[in-house]
Amino acid sequence: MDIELLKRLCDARGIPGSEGEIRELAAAALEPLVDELRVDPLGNLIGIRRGSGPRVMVAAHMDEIGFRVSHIDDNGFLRLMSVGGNRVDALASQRVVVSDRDAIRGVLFLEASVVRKRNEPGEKQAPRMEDYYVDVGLNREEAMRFVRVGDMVTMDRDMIELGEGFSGKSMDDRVGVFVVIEALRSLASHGAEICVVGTVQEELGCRGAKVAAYGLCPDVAVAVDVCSAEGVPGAKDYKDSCALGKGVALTIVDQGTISDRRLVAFVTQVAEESLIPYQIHMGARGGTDARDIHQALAGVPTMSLSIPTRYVHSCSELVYRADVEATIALLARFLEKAHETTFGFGERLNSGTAASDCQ
Amino acid sequence: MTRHLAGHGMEIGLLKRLCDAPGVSGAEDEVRVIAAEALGPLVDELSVDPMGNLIGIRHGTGPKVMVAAHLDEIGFRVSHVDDKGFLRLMGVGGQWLETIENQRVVVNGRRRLPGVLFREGGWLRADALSSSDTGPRKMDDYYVDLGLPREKVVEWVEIGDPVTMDRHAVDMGDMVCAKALDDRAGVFAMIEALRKLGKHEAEIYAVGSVQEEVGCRGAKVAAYGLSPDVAIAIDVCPARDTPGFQEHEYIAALGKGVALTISDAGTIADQGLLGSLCQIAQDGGIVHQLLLAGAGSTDAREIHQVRAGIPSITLAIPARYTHSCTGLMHKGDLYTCAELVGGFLEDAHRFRFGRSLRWK
Amino acid sequence: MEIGLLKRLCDAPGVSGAEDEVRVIAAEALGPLVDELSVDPMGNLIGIRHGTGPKVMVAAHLDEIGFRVSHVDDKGFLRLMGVGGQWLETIENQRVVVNGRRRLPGVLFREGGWLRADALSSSDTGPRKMDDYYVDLGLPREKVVEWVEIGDPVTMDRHAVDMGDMVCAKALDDRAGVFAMIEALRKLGKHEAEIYAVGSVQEEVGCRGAKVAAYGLSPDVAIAIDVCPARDTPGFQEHEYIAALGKGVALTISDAGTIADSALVESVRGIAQSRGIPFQIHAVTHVGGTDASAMHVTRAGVPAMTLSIPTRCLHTSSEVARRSDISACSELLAAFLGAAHKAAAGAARRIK
Repeated sequence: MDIELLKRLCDARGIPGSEGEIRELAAAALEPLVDELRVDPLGNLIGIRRGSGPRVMVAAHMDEIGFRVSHIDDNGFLRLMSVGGNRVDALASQRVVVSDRDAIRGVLFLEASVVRKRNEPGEKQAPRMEDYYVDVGLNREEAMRFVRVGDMVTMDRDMIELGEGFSGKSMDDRVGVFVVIEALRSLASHGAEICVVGTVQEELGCRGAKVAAYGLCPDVAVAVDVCSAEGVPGAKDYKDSCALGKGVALTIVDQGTISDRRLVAFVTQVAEESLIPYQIHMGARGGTDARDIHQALAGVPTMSLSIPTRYVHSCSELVYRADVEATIALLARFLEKAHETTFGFGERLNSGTAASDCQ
Repeated sequence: MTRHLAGHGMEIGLLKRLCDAPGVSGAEDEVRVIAAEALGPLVDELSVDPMGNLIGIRHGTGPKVMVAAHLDEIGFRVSHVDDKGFLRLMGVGGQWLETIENQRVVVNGRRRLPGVLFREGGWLRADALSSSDTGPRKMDDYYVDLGLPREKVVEWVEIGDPVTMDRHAVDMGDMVCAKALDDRAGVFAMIEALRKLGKHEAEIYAVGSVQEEVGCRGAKVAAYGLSPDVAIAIDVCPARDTPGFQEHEYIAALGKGVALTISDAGTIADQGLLGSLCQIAQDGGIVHQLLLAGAGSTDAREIHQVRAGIPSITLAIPARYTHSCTGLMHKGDLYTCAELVGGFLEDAHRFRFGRSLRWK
Repeated sequence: MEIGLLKRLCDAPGVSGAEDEVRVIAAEALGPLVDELSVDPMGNLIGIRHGTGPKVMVAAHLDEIGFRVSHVDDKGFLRLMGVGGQWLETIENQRVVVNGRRRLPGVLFREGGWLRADALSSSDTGPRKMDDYYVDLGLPREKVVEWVEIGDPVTMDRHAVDMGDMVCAKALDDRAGVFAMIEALRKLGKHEAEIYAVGSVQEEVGCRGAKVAAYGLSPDVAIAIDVCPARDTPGFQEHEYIAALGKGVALTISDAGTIADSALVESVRGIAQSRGIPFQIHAVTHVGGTDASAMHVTRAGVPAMTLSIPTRCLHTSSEVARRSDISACSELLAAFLGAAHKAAAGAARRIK
């Protein structure tokens, strides 16, 4: 596996709406692997590798959760607004990187009065985003040379190898982008027309995937994302049904999508035949780009291939190497064989069929 | 009034079979089979689209009218089998957790297995009889006991298997009591309307939609594919004419006829369509009520916003205790719903829908 | 800036789904400024001013928050269902109008909310519910059921007034936007863009009108004109203001519904700077949403942003905005429409 690429993807900075750095990295990696490469009106990166059919869309999102500067006060301290599902109750004492252009570092901390209150016995009020600020160590005039309201703020956490895997600030979903690229690299022959999409703004509601699916009009789709893995102290072990080290997770139902069962059955079969370790996953929380892809146009049979991850939406997300390898292998084998069958329900019971429309 | 009470003459065997069949969102197969069997002789074309929507087409010159009733019910899926063979569940659709305790369920997997659904420590706890409930309930607190050893459980049960309530429909005087009246009653009304339909000019799309309870997903893609001129969703609405509610909080009441939904949380009905239906109801002496609700939505929510917009409305059949396994519905209300749908399909070609105007 | 039209727009009743009177006033004003004018199936007012390109859709919503009659009780009092986001503390002790077969004035109160024995000393118990409110029409039940129907829209009875440099009215959200859009077309000189001026419906219940209008028009660029909250009032610290009155039109680079296209924002910001049009940056993530949230995810995606008019007391019947901010908004919109053919927008490009 090209760990160097995974690290560069994870360390790159890109919150919803500002995915440029990741888009450039992914475009450079994808260029030799596709026949066409473009960016759509919302910023999705779309690479097409020709084939006779079916048209398969593979989506991994380029954005990470983070913040934007909402205010610069008289003393040069910055105020933030949350972009995506940050764990607002647990952000203090983090280091961050600020600004779109000249990246400077800062300390993210809680207002002193709020800290005092939280240390009082019986205090149960969780901190709000308004209670946090960033100290960049500059006065207001100096700070304004580097920072503007609206600038992106991300966690300052490099990816490292840890135990049996890797930990970094944006495994969600740079590991998914990585998997898609690596799968294409290892692809042998294929009949399908493959459309890989680095989607934007997933963390705000799959906005990129929605329009990308509309534009591509695929026959079948796979979203590659992370899923929450259990097995950590204090967690009820049945909250999520996947674990690190048990292989790629096939998400059959989550809060956004009920996966197409023929697609799930086919992918399961491919995994069995290729001896790729996998686990069946039910997502009690969260969803992926699949949610908006499967409801596009007249419907697209879709499922998610998920990489089990601990501490999702923290700056130290943890994945296991073996699970990432399994996901790459399964995606590649699936793409090689996707032309062998059809997906979705789609039966005629007496005659005729509902019209669908792709422009 | 006589016409309304005459609803009792309606044969509801099909309704009971529809209600009893298991069909959690995404696993509507058995319901689809029953509905397809009944719809088959009433339409020119019958098919299933990629997401699983059942689509029956009865040809006509126009306009194109889509009628949608959803096949799916709320329920659960198996999320975990513990080391003693007890099952844990994930809820599918909006759950009313106080009502699922002490229920009998069916796990619809490789085998149909009966089980009991209980809350952790909920039975004969030392303090159960005196203490009050502490805090809101969570799905995680519930489990299913299949009464089987773990080895047998893992042989027959898979993660993801759908789980439904084990309740059979029964008559209760003028009422019918069943699980999944939401929305098997709507499916039934749609089929009945087609059965009684005489001449019509409209091109009719009768859709048994899927996955309504998880966000009207089936109706959304079906409407995109069919691109109708006008749409009617048939669903149930809550009737709160029961102890604990004042009259202005009822939403709807049993025995007052089909409810024309002016507005709910998902859709503001097209005014022209509402007016046409009121007129048809009045001309035909069909007992009906008007419905305004601040919460709840139906397939109409997604349908009316498809493409460049589709004038839509929901015809709702009032039911008490919706989203529990003991829903209660007045047979007369069900009858008037079928009547009104049929009346609309016969006359649809006489009305204008939407507000399209050109001034310049 | 002549604001007679603004006042007429604000005073007219137009709850989501019942925007008819507002649509008439807007159509009258738009008519002479466009080449084509029509209403689509959902009720959106669509004016088209031809040009060679690009296709720019401007949307300001015609609807306001309000209520509908849900019940008439046995004494003739009305119960209501809220339409759009309600701020329940502010609806008590208001005068309202029921817009049905007749226009009937009434008063809106809370059950037992007047002269209760303990009212002056007790604190409020718990959150308020819409069910606790009622409307008194001062009529006997027989008259009420004759003139009022379930579903009749109910609006606040407030007339717009000048307040120094401000205007105070109900429904500045979003009649101020509709007004600014019309003013921009009035001021517009040469342009190459094909302009779709849309008075959208049902924004307050989920941007439903803009969604289908954008699908039908399929524009290249979309701009929503709406209001944004200005919290430059007692009880908020400076970093909590969101926007402030008198600082110009707000360029909304992000809200809870949309992240504005960055190239479009830069184009608009550049135009504002070069013409000396006062503007402020509006960037929030946890609140707000405008028609842009529906327009930008239409079909295969549309670069979009919102130009906002900062407004105090949003979603009450006494909204306050500054005239100079409204005129900055219409000036900037007109300048953008005139230069749209030269402006960069959207991320679309071919790499290979």
